[in-house]
Amino acid sequence: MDTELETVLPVYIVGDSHSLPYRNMVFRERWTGAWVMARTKYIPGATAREFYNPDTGEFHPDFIAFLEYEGLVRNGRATHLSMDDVDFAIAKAAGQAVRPPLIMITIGEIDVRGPILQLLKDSHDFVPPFATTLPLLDKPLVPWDLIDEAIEARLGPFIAGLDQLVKAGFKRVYVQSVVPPTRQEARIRELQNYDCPVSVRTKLVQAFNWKLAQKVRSVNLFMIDRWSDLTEGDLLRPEFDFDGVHLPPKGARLLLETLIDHAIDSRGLVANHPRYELYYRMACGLDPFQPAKPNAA
Amino acid sequence: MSCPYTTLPASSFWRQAVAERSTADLDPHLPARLRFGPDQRIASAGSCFAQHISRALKARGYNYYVTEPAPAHLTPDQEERFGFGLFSARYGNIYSTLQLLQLIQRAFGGFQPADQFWTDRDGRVFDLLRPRITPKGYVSMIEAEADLKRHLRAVRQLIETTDIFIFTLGLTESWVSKLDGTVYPTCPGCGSAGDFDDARYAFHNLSVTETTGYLAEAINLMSAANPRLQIILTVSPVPLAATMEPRHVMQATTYSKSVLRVAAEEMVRRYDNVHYFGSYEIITNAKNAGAYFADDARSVTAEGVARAMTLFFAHFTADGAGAATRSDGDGDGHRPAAPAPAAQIVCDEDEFYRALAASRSN
Repeated sequence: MDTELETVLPVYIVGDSHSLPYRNMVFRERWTGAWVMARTKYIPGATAREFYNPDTGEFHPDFIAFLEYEGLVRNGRATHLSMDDVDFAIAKAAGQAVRPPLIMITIGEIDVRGPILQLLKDSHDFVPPFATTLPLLDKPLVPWDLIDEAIEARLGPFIAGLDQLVKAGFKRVYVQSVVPPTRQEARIRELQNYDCPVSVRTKLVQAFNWKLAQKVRSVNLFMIDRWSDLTEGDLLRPEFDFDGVHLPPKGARLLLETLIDHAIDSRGLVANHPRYELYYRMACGLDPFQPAKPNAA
Repeated sequence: MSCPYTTLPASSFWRQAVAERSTADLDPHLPARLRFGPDQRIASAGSCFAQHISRALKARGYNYYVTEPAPAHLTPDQEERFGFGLFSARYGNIYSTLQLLQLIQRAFGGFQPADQFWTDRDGRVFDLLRPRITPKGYVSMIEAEADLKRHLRAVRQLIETTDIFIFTLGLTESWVSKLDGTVYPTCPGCGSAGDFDDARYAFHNLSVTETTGYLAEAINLMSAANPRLQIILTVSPVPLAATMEPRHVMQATTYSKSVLRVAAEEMVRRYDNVHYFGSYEIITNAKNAGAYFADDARSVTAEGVARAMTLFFAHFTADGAGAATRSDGDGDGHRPAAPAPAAQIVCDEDEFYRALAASRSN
């Protein structure tokens, strides 16, 4: 059995308020029986646009603070890849996984509900580039390309940040899809100060997720999505409408289970080769912290 | 009886009205029968030059009527790229009277083109009747057809509810479908959407009879839909970018502009609700010696546009009566060394020209 799954498997969930339903969530993973524990960080107002600044190369400070607090980053480096003897000793003593940590980022809902939805409000609809069961209302259309540009503007910095995370060794980062929006029109009016039909709002979330999934895959990561389970006729099932914005814990649990399933199924893809190299060198009686000597030949 | 010419005003005599005046004072108009104010809805359509009128109306605070408005929060660049606000609806450039007629017929359900959409290799769908309305095409046929339905409804609403409709006549040379006579704003496959196929598309240069007839039919349809509608016709002073006729482009331009000018005149004579604004005369008159054209002798300079607009508002607005003021710098008679900075206009014809030049340089 995998040593990682013999003990508690932490999943680090960080992002906007959609990380909150995971708080204190502990359950047994259904295939191996291992304990899964969510460790969460809520970053108020976190958006995809502000997750990472490609111009400066800086992540949102609260995101970095979370990684450091959880011991996933020390001295500006991913600890699971560190060759530093102190990091190695800490990792060994703490029994940390030899694989990259499981991280899920919850982000994007504010981007959708804010600047992108403003293009549509109650006055417009749009035709997405994928099949949807949602109706096309008898309203003027915003060209899909303009919706696409608006989504790109929000996702561009975020995906650049994900790419940096992957390059830094965080190869098991997941992104939670934006959850289906509430059917409560009054709640939206309260939140946004304008009306927007549920079919338009839901279609916009579908479009955002459609783009998000593609872009997340482009950096070899994965988006967690349980749309068909959370919706009925592509609209949010009432039992998953917690407060007009968030999923209840049972909905979040569905998403987390999907993450765990995927993580188990794709373990081989993220082997920590540097650390295996360390073990190999130790097994051979070599000092793992000394660079290998070139072959005399 | 005395000679009837003795009773005519100075504006009827070339020497007094033109020869003895500076170019800055030239005004080829008599008092207009139509005057509008800021409360009236003013719509426009036409060739590239028509965009100057729509911009000037908006800039001066008139009620430029748009029935297909841009969504909120677009940038000016996005609005322009997607054809919002260039004209009163997103029909793009309308160059010929037949194109105008068919647009109105389509809006009122009287005509449905057989060959309107074209799909490129990437699956993007283009509306050949407004090929640049979405720069990269529609993402699907569903989007293209849905947008067209809404567009035609916006055109219908425009015709039915505007107070004034300004139409700038641009060209007689046209490309038509051999299937059903649909006329396209540009030759399909030449610089914009479509694949040119001489089995499907034919060149046709409208005669004066055709141009006049189609324009009259369009006016009849519009006036029937909106009995209180007032129409202002103008003729674009911009020469042809290219001709398909087997003759020099200058001759082709003279023919085209002459036909359009005659058609406009005929409509003014025929209909009480049709008026003429002489932008063609303002820009091209011999006294100016081309002063309002840039080095290419085709692009109208910012000064020329400003002068035309000054006269337009002087003659057609309630508060502009008699205010045909001189425009700064338009009286020296010299052509500027380079095109003066002018507002960017979106022009299908220019796109064709650029593509043609690019294909020749390859």
